[in-house]
Amino acid sequence: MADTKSAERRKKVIFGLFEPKTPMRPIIDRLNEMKFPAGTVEISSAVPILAQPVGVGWGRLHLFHVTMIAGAIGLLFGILLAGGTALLYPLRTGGKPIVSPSIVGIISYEMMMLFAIVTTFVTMAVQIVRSRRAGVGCDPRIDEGFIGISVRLDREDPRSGTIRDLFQEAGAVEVETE
Amino acid sequence: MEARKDFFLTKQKRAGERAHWELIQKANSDLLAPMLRTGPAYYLIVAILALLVLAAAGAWTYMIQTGIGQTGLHPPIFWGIFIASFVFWVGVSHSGTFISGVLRISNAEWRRPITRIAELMTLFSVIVAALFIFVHLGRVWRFYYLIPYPNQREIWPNFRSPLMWDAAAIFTYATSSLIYLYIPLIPDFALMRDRVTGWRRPFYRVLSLGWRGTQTEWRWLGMAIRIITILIVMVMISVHSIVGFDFAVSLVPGWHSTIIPPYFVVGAIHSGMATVVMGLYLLRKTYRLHDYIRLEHFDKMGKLMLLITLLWGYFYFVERQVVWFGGIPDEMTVLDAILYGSYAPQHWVMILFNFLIPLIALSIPRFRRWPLGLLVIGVMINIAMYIERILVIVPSLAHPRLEYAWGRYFPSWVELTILVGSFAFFLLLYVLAIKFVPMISIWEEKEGILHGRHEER
Repeated sequence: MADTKSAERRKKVIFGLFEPKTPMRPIIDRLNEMKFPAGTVEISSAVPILAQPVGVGWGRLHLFHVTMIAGAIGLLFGILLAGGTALLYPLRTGGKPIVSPSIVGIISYEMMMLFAIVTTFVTMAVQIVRSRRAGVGCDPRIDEGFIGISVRLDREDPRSGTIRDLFQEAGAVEVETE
Repeated sequence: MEARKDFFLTKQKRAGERAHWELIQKANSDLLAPMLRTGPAYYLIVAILALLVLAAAGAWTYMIQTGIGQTGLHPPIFWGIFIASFVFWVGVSHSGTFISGVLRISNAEWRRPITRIAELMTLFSVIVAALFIFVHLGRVWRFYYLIPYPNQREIWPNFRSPLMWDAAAIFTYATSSLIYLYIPLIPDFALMRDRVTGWRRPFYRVLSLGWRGTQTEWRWLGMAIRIITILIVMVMISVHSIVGFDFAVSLVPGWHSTIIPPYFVVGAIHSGMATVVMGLYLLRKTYRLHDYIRLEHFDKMGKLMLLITLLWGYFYFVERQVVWFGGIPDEMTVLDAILYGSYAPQHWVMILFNFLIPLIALSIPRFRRWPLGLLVIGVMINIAMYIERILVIVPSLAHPRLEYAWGRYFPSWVELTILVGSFAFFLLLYVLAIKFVPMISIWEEKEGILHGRHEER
């Protein structure tokens, strides 16, 4: 834990702020060529960018699998809740089954959906909170449509100058090192 | 497709880009304005609504103290205004999910100013609907009997009861609606965290989850919205079907029909969309949001309402036609009471307001682009849908199979006060929400502007 903190302290963030009309692809391509590890380059914007940069910390998300697994657990919970408790607390009514498949189906369906939706939300929230750990530059102008690019690297990393030059050449309004 | 390759390499000329950029700044200030500026009229409206809610709370307290006999409910009619209101409000709640969910799934560009208004409507109407369950309980202090938990009395909720299906469905729907409302709000909460000062700021700091608009965050958010949208549309259909099962699985004349659940779903969407149109009109008018809630939105909502009107009319006709053609005496008694008997005036007003007038009016393109006209149609549909909920419940219960047991029902002042209070409570929640939440999704509006799909007025 202490090692992680000291490693973080050795990091710095180079943040470039760009006007909305600045083409992003050339900048991203150049950063890709520098072979940064996943999660060290982040683009901040007021809206999601349609074309995602390839290879800059851009792994697959497995949220759908989480939803599926949570849904399956919810289904099982629903079966136990409606079917299991009907067996534990039997209500004998003439001509009617103790465990009714249609009723178990209705309750299980609702529980499946509840578990799937809640788990999907919690997973997303955790991931958003976790992503805060990565150092990202902030600027209020991002809300106005500007684009921010943050590159996190070691303080001694020789590529710092190259990145700053790249940002300047691309027409950055501001380049900061934090 | 070129525009999709790189978000900033659009075909727009530089002047166009500049215009878009300015539009973004304008969107930020325009859409935050209702939250930041409060006039005396706002406080007056809040005070009036709060008084009506207090009156309803007083009536409910009186009913709890003196017993359920204070209502107009008596044998054979044990379901009245409270259950009709429950069904009605669950119906209204479908607006948000249907409009927001279906339009998101279909990636309809015109959804942007509508989704938030509709999603808020969903949450608040579910809250009001859930309240009616407790009001209807009578001995509300025994509500915990409904919750399945191990206890010494060996009492366990009977899942064979459709009301327990309701409990499961409403709980799922309320939770899902809250989540579905909250997720697209996260970027807007972050914007407010940076823009709003005062006592609200700490709340926004917590609610925004530290959002900074990185692409990683956007991807997680987008993925979650996509998944939950599909799921919540499935939940929405199931919830009102289950409310329909409350009636359809019973053997009461007029209820025992396979068409009731889908008919309830269509009716719910009908009243829900009418409520959304009312909300759109009032927000546009009050906060001068003409640049965001445009005539095209009313036009498209009008087309959707026309479709649902036709669908509702078809379902209604089929239900009545099958009963009439079958000619089963018990069923015919109820049908005759509705078509020609003591419930006929309400019934024909309902047909007029719910079907005939909307059908004619919404078929006219110029009418669809007249916001005030759509507001009137929205009010009409909601009045008619409430009458329709009453007509589903009361005539069937008033005419049991044995003629000597027939009865009449009229709500007492207690019920009517609670009914008025419920509408006031819904509006109060909405009016208060205006000061906490942007009524139009700011980031989605900005996305529409930046992606060059912001249509001219």
